Amino acid sequence: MTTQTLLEVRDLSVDYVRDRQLVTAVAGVDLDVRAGEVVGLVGESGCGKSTLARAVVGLLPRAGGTVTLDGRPAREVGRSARPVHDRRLQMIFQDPYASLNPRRRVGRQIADGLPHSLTGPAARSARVGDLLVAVGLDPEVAGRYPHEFSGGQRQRIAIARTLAAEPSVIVADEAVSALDASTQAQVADLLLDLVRSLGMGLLFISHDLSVVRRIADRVAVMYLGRIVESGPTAQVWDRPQHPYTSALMAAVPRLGRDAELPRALTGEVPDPASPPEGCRFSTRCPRVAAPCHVDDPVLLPVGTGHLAACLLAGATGAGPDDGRPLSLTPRTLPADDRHPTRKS
Amino acid sequence: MSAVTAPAAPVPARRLRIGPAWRRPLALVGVTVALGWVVLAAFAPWIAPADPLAQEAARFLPPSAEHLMGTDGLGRDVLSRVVHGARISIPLAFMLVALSLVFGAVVGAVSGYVGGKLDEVLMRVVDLFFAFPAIILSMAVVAALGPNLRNAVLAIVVVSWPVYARVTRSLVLSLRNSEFVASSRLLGISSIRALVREILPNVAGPVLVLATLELGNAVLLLSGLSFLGLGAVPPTPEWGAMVSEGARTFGFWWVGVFPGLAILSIVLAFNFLGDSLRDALDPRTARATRGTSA
Repeated sequence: MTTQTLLEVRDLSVDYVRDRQLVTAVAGVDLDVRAGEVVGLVGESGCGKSTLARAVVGLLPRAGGTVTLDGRPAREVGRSARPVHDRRLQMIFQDPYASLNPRRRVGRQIADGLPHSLTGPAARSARVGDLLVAVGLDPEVAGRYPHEFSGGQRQRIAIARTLAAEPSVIVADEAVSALDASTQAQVADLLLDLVRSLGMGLLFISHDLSVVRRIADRVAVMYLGRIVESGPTAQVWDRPQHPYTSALMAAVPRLGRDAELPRALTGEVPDPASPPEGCRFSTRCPRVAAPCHVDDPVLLPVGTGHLAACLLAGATGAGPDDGRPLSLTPRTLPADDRHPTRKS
Repeated sequence: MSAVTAPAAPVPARRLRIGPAWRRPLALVGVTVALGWVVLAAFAPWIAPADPLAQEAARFLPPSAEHLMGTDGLGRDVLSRVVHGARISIPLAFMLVALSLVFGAVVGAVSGYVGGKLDEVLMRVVDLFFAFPAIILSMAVVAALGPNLRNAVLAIVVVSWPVYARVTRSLVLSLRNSEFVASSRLLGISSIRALVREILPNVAGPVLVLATLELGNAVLLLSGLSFLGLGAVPPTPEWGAMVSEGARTFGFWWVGVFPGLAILSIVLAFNFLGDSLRDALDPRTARATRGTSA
């Protein structure tokens, strides 16, 4: 069964100017989020995750590419009020202490997002109460100020705020990273429940692999402004095809494993102002080969719905080899082949 | 002016309760003295023993039971003139600060929120005003407009708005990119509404603290101009003008010292008040009771 694709990001890139130099923070990213699906986006700090998130919702200017929501383009946020269609694309921020206005009552802040068609103070405050209940809070708290809540509660309020706009897709940028471990799980589960029950899509961005594994249906791994691997979460976890993904997985501490230091990646993330020649990961890759310094790999299928951008993927990985020879000339694939439908 | 610049974190919306910041001795002194002067100003005709303009007594009488602060060169009661002086300095100081605040805050908010070239231009203009000492610049303005109290007020507004512009700009700038503004914009709040409803309420606290601290400066500048003969014209019982007269008649110390003490006490009171207000609004110092403030 094919579920509806709600968010389509195609070849999105974001530039910014630093010291009079053009830096490409996001260099051509494709992403799909379907109804009722959680897509996890992981990567080290500085790889462009947050920039991507802000560009997708339109808070940052896009240098290229398109963002389509419910089949229609979602524009960048301008000076005037955001068009109603675009409001169905919402974002939850990392810091629950910074994402609510300290001087306004939370009920009023939640009501900001309610559709204008919902008129009358009684109806609107009833809806605010419903939203508070939906995120697990008492509707009575609408009259309080943000400083009266804990971090987890504030993040629930931030979620209620986005829900008021009846979003079809929510982008959550490190939405649980600033919370306590126990609260993290609760808020992550809340998001998952809401996605499933409301049929929304969720792009869940985090550097915390264990949370992503817990809630994401599909996962995309980002490195230096590009997606280097994507696929169903379990498959990517069990059979990572890109050496960067393998290194990230190895860095996750696990119970029951001998006290063995994870195989550390050598060096720092390169400066996106001057990415390495050839494969962007070639400077840190443990499996680097001669062609890697020449050819820039594109995302190619390595399994069912599983893509990896590595010249050696499939040839040396543990995953199913699709029989292709180790191609040094990147092939272009038909669009529907690049994003195979997920079986659900 | 650097005392209140840019606390990056917005101040929590707490009501001004009688917190620890208000129980410190300096805060109490500030509140008491400032309130005392306001009461004196409000009820001056009933409190003052004599008409401040009446030349009824002998000239240069030293302080005595009849004239607690003596009489001046024209036989006027100095105490009555000091009390009536509050009716000039205090309302004018509030008016001055209000005018500079409104003008400066509007310039600062526009500069910080619009950014780009406009911000550059406005901030260079502000720098230009900061390049001159306030008293020199205000003297130049009064000299150009003609010396009287109204022009002195205008001159002080001209020299004091840039402080508000700069502080407001830096606060707006730090809040413009805050996540709560971003999330409001995503929910469909227009840019201008976000400025008015999300940003400005968070700017108000620190700017009001600055305004309180500037009240003292306003009194001082106004008396300074009057002292130099660029403000209040002679019969007006203005403190600066009275100190000036005292300076000319040096042997009769009471003529200048008492209005001088009046200026000193009210400037200190406004400064203590401003400091306490800042501490009360600042979440980092709201709970800590410290002996002195920075």
